[in-house]
Amino acid sequence: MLTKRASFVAALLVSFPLFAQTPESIAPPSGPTSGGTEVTIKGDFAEVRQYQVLFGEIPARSTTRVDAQTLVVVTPAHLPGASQIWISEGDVFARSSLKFTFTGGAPLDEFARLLVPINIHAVKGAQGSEFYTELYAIAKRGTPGVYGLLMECWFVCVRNDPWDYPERLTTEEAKYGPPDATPERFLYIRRQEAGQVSLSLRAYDVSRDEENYGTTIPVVNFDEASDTVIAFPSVPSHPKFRNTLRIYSDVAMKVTIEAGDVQEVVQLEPGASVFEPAFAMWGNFPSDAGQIRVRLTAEVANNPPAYLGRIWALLTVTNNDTQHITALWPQP
Amino acid sequence: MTPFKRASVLIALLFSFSVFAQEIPWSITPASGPASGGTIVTIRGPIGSWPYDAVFGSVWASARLIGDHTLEVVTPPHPPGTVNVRLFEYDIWRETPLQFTYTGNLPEEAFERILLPVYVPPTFGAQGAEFRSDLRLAAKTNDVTVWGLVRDCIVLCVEPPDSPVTVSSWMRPEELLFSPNGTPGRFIYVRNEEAHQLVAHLRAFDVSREATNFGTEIPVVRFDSEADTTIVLPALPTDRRFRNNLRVYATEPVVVTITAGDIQGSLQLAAGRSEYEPAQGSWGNFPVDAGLVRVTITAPGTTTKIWAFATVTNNDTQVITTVTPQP
Repeated sequence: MLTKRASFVAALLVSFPLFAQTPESIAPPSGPTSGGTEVTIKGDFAEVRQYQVLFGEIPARSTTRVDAQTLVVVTPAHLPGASQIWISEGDVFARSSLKFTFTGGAPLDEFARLLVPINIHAVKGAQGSEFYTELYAIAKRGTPGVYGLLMECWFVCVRNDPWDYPERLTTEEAKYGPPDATPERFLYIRRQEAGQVSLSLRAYDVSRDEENYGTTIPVVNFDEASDTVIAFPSVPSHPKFRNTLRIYSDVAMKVTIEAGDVQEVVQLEPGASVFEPAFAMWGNFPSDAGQIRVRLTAEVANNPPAYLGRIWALLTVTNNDTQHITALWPQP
Repeated sequence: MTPFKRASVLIALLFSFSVFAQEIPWSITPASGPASGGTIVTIRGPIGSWPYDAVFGSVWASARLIGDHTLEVVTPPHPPGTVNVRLFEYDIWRETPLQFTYTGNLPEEAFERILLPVYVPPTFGAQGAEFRSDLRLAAKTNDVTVWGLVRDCIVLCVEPPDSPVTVSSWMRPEELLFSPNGTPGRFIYVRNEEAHQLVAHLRAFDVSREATNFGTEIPVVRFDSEADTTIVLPALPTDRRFRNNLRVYATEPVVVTITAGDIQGSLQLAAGRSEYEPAQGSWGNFPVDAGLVRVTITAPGTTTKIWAFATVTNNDTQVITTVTPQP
């Protein structure tokens, strides 16, 4: 055992000199999230080898050894944020001291964006209810990476930067807890891996676990499901139920809500990062108006006319006595 | 105008109408073509020199005036069947006695196929339950034509089952109801260019427990984009409190393999009788008291895509939770 430990420590010491020697600088240190920036990395690249560079976990589009001190690298598309540079001289990648900062919005040509509409922990409601959500994720095939998916951790959370390192899924499902951020969350998957993921999100009331298995909440491929107009053809307006509308967008905007005879404009507040959608919650439904139609219309710029963004919405109908939730969402 | 002149004009008008009526009869050549469209048809009849559009059933096509009383039209894609042909003359409708027969299979490339997974007449269950499904369709802003449905009609149903229905944004919720008219799972079709306008709401509910909840939303599925060769439902309960039922759908009657925890089974999907009925089957041989199990459904040896969802029903309260493939 002692020998094994010694070998491990020796291996670490051998790997550290690599960091100390190379690389030394990166220029420019930032570029757009769409990728394509030609970056020069200076260091000790004396060995004539096939060098490879990773930005977080994403390979550079190309890596060229120009001379013994220079690599020229073309950046890949990447989520915004400071990305760790890894360099390999062969099969093994070594973490460098360099970072490259990707600027701009999420590069949606290369990443699919999923919306997790509600992810909460122990929210107390009426009639002794206590609501939780439960998010499971699994790989249908391969080991797809999901950016922004956070493992459950209740005591000490050591997490990598979510924009740089995805959570790799396997064919064993894993449970992902409510993020220590907003309840609503965008996740990102590189498009070539998007079809490999299966998720399951359920809201339930622990105080009524005996009575039902809760309510499935859709996890939405946001850029396919969202639109500038969202409609719900038939929503109950009855004192038995309380209705709550949650509206999501990728940009802060105004949305006009028509619910039966009620019309209001709400402002979606911006999220703090690409993982947080712009969001608003609204519940001013008419009471006892029978079945009503609900329509949401995204704000349109006037001069020149242009759509500012797209919206998606979730409407929950909760029975006031039983606290049973029915989720309505835009279909199909 | 003198009485003589008036009489002359009247006679001339009557004469001219009779010329149209007798000498320019309506005709369409050819009178049939593939459902994929693209057939060049010649329409002759009492046609003037106005700009014309032709409407096949409820699908528009622009017409070209190629001679006296003669239009040339390229047929648009349309589900198979015989449709009436109407003309739109500048700003008015012209009814014609013409019909065109679309042959072959539904042109999948021109239509969005949408799955209604469970759409049934009242069904009686345990503990006095009476399950119903409630389907409502609407349009966001512009009208949408939907093939495969019959509008809810209790007393007098005038729509033949094969004709499409048009839904609008201005309809009241009670006008948007539709009736089940086939197998529990059903495909409906919308033209690709109108698909983003469609709004659907499908809800299963137990009439005997309407006071306790609003029921369960059933997903309405864009089948061709959401189906896959493998479907995985990550965490399904196997507690005795619940009974689970898995429903599987495909476009072909394939055999699917189902793995639920330690149990593996196979299911032959029953073929649909038309393009409006998916191949479908249900399976309930879940393990009992095995905690949360993963359910994997595949169609080995084929590239046919499948879609599936599970229902988890509480045996006492009959409350249904759906577990669906996400995203």
